[in-house]
Amino acid sequence: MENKIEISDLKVNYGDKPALNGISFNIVQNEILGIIGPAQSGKTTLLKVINRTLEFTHGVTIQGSVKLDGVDISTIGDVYGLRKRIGMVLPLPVGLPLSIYDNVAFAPRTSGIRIKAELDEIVERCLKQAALWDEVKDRLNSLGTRLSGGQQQRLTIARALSHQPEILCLDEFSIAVDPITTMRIEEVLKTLKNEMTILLVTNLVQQAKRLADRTAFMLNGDLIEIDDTEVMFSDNPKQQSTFDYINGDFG
Amino acid sequence: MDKSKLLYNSIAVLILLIVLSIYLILTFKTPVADSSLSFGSMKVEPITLLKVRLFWMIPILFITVILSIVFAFIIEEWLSPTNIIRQIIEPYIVILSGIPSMIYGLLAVYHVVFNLISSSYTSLTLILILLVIPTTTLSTQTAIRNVDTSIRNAAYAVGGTKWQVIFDHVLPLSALDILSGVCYTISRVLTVTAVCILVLNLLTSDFSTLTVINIVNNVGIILLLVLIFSIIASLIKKNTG
Repeated sequence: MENKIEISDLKVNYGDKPALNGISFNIVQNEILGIIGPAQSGKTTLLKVINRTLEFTHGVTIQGSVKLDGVDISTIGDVYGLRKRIGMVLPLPVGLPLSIYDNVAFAPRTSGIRIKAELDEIVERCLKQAALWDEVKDRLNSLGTRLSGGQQQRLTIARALSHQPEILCLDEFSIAVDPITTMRIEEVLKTLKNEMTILLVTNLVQQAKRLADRTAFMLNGDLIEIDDTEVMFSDNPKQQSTFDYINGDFG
Repeated sequence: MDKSKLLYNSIAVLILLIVLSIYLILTFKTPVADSSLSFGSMKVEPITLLKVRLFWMIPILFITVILSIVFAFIIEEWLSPTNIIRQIIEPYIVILSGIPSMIYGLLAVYHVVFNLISSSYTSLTLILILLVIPTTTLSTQTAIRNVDTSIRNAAYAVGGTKWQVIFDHVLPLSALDILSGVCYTISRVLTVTAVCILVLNLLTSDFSTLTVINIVNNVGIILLLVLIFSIIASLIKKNTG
């Protein structure tokens, strides 16, 4: 399998405070990569580097390279085009202050799709993929921010899928979602794997075990270990701290 | 407060003091009431003249308010907090917005009666700009900052451009707060106007004929407008806060 993303010696500092201490690994096309680790380990920072939204943070310095399909993302001039290739779901649902329909149609509209029938089709497909269609199909014009927390989170997933990204980054998406819905979304993710590469940052190690093909363990800005999920969750991963974290000895 | 901020604030205070001193030196002369307070051959009282001129200030007020909002967006969206231009500009906005509006009112009266600058239109416009730009810019900046960063990030994450994020998200979300700030500024400007008219009224009228009705006649509508704008601003603030 070819590499979708190649990260080499990536260092990120917030002012004087290091967030990532020179990590290197590759993400393979059409895999689900689970990234686990306690808070402050640099998981979210890593995702923000990949879709270049970290640039909005003041005083941040980024060193090293992140290559997407062999092209260094820092050299890509069309940053908005790059972000369209990467879908992002944030930990807490952020419903844009628009109707449910417009929330999902936002990204396609920015790419120039104006035909109503086409937009309708995209909205329906994405909401179905995010397991939300049945609940909202009769009130697509009501405000997205009026939905419940779990529904809003599924709406953000639908929105992230709306521009048919090549990579889908999920940052602790299940924090505000109930277990039943989480299972439904997980099923969706398994099918989406055929179409895109998925980066799953999660605090729930069991979620990584259920979904991920490979799992990476990060701690205090370092990549401790990356391997096949079966190896990571077996009794003998390469690093002792990985075993301790997965078994709940710390974190 | 870090060292650079302290430095820029000190420079701002120093420069404003220098400007004030120059202003005082240039305008400190024996006051002689303006002899040209007339329309053609017809002599008019300063108060009538002021009212006519204040009427012409309305379009300038609107232009200044819009410019201040644009200015605030430029500062907040394009200049990072560490940007040197922003660090130089911001202390002036903060200091100037802290000056009581009464000072500006008295300054306006002084300028109109003694015609210090060649045209009282120019002086009134300058005073209006000094009164409006700092307060509106400051309140608009606060309104923009109140928009949740996660909304910006979410919009950027789906590939929205800066303009799309500003027009589709930041502006609609901060519109009510901006409006509330504008209402406060307008009521501040109207208060100053009322002060101007009242002081000129007292200066030019015979005290024996001065009655409450006389005062209400002159500034009643303005004070009513001040009240209405303040109430609107408070109601908007209450609903958005």
